Amino acid sequence: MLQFARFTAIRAALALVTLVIVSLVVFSLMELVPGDCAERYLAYKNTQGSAITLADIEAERARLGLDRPFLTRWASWLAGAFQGEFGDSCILRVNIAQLLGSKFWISLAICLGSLVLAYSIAIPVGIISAASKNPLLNNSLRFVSYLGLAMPNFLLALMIMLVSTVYFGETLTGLFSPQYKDAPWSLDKFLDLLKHAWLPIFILGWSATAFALQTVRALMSDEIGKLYVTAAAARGIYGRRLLWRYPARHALGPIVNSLGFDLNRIFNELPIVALILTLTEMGSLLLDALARSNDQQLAGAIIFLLTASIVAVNFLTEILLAVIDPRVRKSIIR
Amino acid sequence: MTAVAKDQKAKEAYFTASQRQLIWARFKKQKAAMVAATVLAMLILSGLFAPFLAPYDPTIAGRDKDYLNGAPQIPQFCDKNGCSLRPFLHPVTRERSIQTNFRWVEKINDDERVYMQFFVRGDEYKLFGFIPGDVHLFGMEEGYVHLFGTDSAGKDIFSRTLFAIWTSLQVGTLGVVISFVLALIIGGVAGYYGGMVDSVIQMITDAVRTIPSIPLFMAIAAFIPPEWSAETRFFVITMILGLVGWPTLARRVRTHLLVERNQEYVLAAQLCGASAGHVIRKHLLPSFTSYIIVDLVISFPYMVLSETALSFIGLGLKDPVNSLGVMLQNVTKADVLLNYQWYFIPVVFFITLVMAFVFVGDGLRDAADPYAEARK
Amino acid sequence: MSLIDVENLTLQFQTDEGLITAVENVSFSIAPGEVMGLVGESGSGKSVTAKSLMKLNSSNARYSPESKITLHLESGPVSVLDLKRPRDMEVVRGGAISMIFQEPMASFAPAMTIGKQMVEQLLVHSDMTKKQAKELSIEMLDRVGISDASMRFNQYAFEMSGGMRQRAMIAMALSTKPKLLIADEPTTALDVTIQAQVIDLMKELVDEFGMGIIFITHDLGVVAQTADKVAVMYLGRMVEEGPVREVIRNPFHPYTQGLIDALPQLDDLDKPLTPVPGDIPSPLERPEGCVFHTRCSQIIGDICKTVVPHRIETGEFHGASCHLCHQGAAE
Repeated sequence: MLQFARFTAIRAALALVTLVIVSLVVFSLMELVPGDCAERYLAYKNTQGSAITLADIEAERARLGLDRPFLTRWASWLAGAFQGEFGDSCILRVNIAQLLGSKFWISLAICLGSLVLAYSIAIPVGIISAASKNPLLNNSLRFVSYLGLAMPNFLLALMIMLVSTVYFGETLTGLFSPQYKDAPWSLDKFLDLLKHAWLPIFILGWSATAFALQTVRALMSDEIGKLYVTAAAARGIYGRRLLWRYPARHALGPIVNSLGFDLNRIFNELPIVALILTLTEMGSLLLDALARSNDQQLAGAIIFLLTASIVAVNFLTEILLAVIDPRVRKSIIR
Repeated sequence: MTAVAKDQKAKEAYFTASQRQLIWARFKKQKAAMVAATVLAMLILSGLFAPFLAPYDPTIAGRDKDYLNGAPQIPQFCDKNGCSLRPFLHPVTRERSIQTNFRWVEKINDDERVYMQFFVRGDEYKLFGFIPGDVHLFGMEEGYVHLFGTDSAGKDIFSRTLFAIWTSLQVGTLGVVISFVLALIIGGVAGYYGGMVDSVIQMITDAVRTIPSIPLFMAIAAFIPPEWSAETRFFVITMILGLVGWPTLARRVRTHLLVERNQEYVLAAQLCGASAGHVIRKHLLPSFTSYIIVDLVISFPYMVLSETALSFIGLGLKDPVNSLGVMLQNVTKADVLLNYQWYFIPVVFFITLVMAFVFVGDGLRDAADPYAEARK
Repeated sequence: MSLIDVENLTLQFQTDEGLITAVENVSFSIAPGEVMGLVGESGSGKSVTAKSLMKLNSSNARYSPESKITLHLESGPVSVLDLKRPRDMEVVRGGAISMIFQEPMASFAPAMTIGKQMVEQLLVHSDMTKKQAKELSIEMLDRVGISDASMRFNQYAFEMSGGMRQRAMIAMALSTKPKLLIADEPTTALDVTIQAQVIDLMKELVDEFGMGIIFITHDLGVVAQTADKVAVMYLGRMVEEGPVREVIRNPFHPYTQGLIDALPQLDDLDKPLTPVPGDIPSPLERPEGCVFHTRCSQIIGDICKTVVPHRIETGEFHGASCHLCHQGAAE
């Protein structure tokens, strides 16, 4: 137990180090943007009619702490980020944490939902197709999963929109019905969300499923070819029992291992799908922040949060792997 | 030559075949990959010769101002007046007036024929960027032909599609080359030195790999000053794609190097007195170049997909550079979805291009793995 | 009465390159308590032959209609090749026949304890309770010389040494009291000293359990120590078979002679080793006539290249398939 706690602690520390490196990358990017918050703020004031001088900019910089050295500013940004505090956006002039708030959790829930969808399809189908020798089934599955890889999600979203507009006369956009959009959370609002969320979950899950199917199939084919499976068959174990207890059980570890990267891929698709479906969550906020207003504070916060959720998932899968795979578990305890 | 000698020769060819020849031999056996390779070759050729194959300039210069948002025209051989050996079109006039509620109404004049011509002189272009020319594969006696219709500015979608394929290929190639050079340096250093250097580089690579790449692209691309020209933008976007794409490749390079470096044949070469440079050039590089090529082909479609996504949301390439993402920028609007479905024709080509790359990459990967056959 | 009869076993694999013949016209039988050594280079078809007894070959294997494998059990004869469903094969797989593989590490499922796999097998093949199965498994582990068996029962294969893994494998194979044990190069992956231990153990167990064994190996020395009779295979054909001493003292087939000459002799260290010349041809290009003629040093003319030699008795229970023997018999 003690060793296990130590293992967890080491993994957590490594995850933190990863986050620190990520924050350095993200923060440097934010800094590379021409013009800082003070200039932007005062430029805005300028458009409101008040004249500003260089001294004003300097004073504003000092007020915002922008005159401190890079590393100090990074450290304080990082310290804030770990507490979920990202300061104010200098374009929107609102607190970023408040702005993101529930949007972050909804986005994460949608992405995790599509991850769950992807694997609940990919695991059974992948296992069956790896075990089956039917060439028609295998080739068509291969084709479908390649199509999933090649067809960008935004195209799928466009197609679905097209069909729904032509045949149902309604556009399947947004995450909430108008009456709930700004309403406080309630059971009805939640149900309304569920009614709208299936579409983004489905679209995001589409290519995730294709990837997951590839992974599961490849891992399963590898395991099925191994000697221990033949040996188990030689002991008289057959059929589903053989499939699930032997190769499937052993392919599970690497599958768990790949969850973090799948989430990464889903996050890649999120902004664009969000744009098409005009969802009010983080992806489209990121787009707004970048394309329309060059809001580097908001963009940095979002990228950091997305990466942090991937790091968290990676950490959890490592722990899970240690629990389910005796090889990892024993190497920790020894 | 006797049959035995021939047989012997074939056997010898097998045993002395280079890694590349073996991969090619195994690749040829896979039907799907071979079909994909043929399709891919055709697409690459049509992209290369886009200026010649496309009847019109894809930019605003080649617009047909009388046929905005026009439907595809398909040249025919026969009509009510009989058949002809040369394909022709009926001239179309479009009108918009108070009588038609100010909507465009097409009138097809099916008594007249406009014949198609081949190898016609038209808009000037530069083939491969430097060979000037103005001969196009086909065109009309008078007026225009739009196989895939036109867009809202009257630009020929067929011509734009061909040029978009060319752009996608350029973006993919450049992006892959840039990320490959980075990967080779970073992964090479990690793999060659090993130890502490390797651990630190691995940690950084893994951290960068965790950042979702499209949001990262977006963050970087959003800060390209809008006043930069489309060409500069093209190069910068491609650079960004390359810069963000290196970690995965770097990891592969490192793994290849680490594995190969500890092989006994390297030790054998060293014991024979080979210098480090000789070992790297003559033993290490040849042993994994074929695998690296496979990796490059596999990562190619992701570059193209990223570019499309980026351009689609307006952060990537911009007009007059053509790419699928640029062409699809406006199609989210409901009226486009409903009325101008031919905007989606390029999508078919695009999906074919990406699928062909994925299939070829997969086939190459299987062919490069000497144990793939045994596992079947 | 014999335990198992194999008659005219011919087996081809369907591949992209066409049908590949792996085993051709092989016949033998084994009596209860008899140990047969199956000898040959890699690629000679010995493992494929052994796997056929349990229909374990991959799904692209095609058995010829003349092939027949009959297993004589108390409940009556079972025709193995006619068993279609995996469910019916339970009687054979792990029931009447158990198999030990070359790689003890790879033949245990890596993420399951040894005990779990043993108990699972016992539950499939008997009506024991879980508790009884566990007790028997521990007893078997103890019996094959694994100390602290109840602790090892809960361990994984990667926690054991090579020799111990193979012992555990033997314990598992024998726990269902099979009538026939197939040992596919059980000692090849082990150190020489461990090899001797495992071979001794197997000899002991044969005496105790009284079952038949097929011992697959490329090492004639091991066969000489353990087997009652030996069959030599080359490129899917059985070229010579007979009582082990008989075959080793008076080998008829040039290939058997070659294998014996290739063995190092500890009592005459100056004697040069004479390897069988050349390489075994790929199964894709099986030679016409006698499959061995491409490497044979005693070739007697075109007959070797065109006519398939049939088996001829060269002594009591001793037979070989070679044109030389025919010639000798004719003279």
